[in-house]
Amino acid sequence: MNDEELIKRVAQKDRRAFEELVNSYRRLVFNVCLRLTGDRETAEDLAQEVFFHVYIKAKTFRSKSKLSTWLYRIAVNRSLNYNRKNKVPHRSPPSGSFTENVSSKLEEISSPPSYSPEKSLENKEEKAFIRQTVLSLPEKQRTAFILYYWEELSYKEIAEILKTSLSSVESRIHRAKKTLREIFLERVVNKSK
Amino acid sequence: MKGTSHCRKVKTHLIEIAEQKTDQIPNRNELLSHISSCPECSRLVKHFSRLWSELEPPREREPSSDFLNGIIQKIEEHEHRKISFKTVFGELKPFLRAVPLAALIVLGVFTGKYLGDTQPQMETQSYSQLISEYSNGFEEIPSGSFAEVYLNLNSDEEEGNS
Repeated sequence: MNDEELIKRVAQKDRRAFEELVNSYRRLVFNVCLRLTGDRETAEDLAQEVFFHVYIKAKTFRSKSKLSTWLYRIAVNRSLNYNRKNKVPHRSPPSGSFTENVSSKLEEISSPPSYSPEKSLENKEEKAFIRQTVLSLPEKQRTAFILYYWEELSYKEIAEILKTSLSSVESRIHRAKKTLREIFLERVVNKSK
Repeated sequence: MKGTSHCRKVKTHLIEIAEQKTDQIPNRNELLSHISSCPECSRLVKHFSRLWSELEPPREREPSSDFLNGIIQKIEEHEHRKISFKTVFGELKPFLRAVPLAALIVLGVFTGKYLGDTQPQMETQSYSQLISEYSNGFEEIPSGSFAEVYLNLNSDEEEGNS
């Protein structure tokens, strides 16, 4: 069953079609919520809300855009609203000597372990540093950056999800990269001292 | 001096170098040959590129096995609420229809009473106002005007008749 057929059936309150839709998109929705909020439990709640919304509002879906774009849009909006409502602090970028101040939330999205214990620790530390730095970006830059680098979406898709122009997406990602370059550069310089 | 300006340029273009998208960098070849000849820039590019490559997407996670059940539960709760609202609303429906009708009747009675109380007073007031305005108008006729001549003529005739 293709997406258009699937959503039509969901609009008719077909439970089987809905379950199929959830199984096809659960990973996508859950992971985008996780990457934007940084917390597994919250991400799961938000992802469930996204699918609940889809079930209730399936009739309003316009097949002009892709189903995944619609799901991304709902997931992004819910996650950002959650962050705003719960005043998820605008994290300050981690310092050069960053080791143990990685929040437990970030552990949720850390990398799989590699074989050497020493390398694994360094690698884990570095990934955690990167995650924290990305999460410390201002909201608009962070969202565009995560959708581009981590969700691997095109500028056009991001513009459609965020309901903004292509040039705005470009500028947000450009500014995010500039900020990250400064922070990474500082870390590299501090480490080599 | 040249080395310093090149070093600064390397720092500006670190991301393009790390992502191997150097086509847009002006004097690209000169910059790349500087990197291979300057040990400090070479080390910086190596470390930065390694760190930048770690920006790859985090490993995908699976939601819990109870994920779908959670959504179904939310849907069922929602539908239950909807049904119970419909039931209550259905029972109240005949009463709810009578309420606007009763309100309309009460409103009609009060409006009628209000209009009945106020209208005669308004009429009396406006009639007496009209008479006084009319008689005032005769007092203000300028002397020597056509209107005064006409009035005098009329009053003479009346006196002659009498």
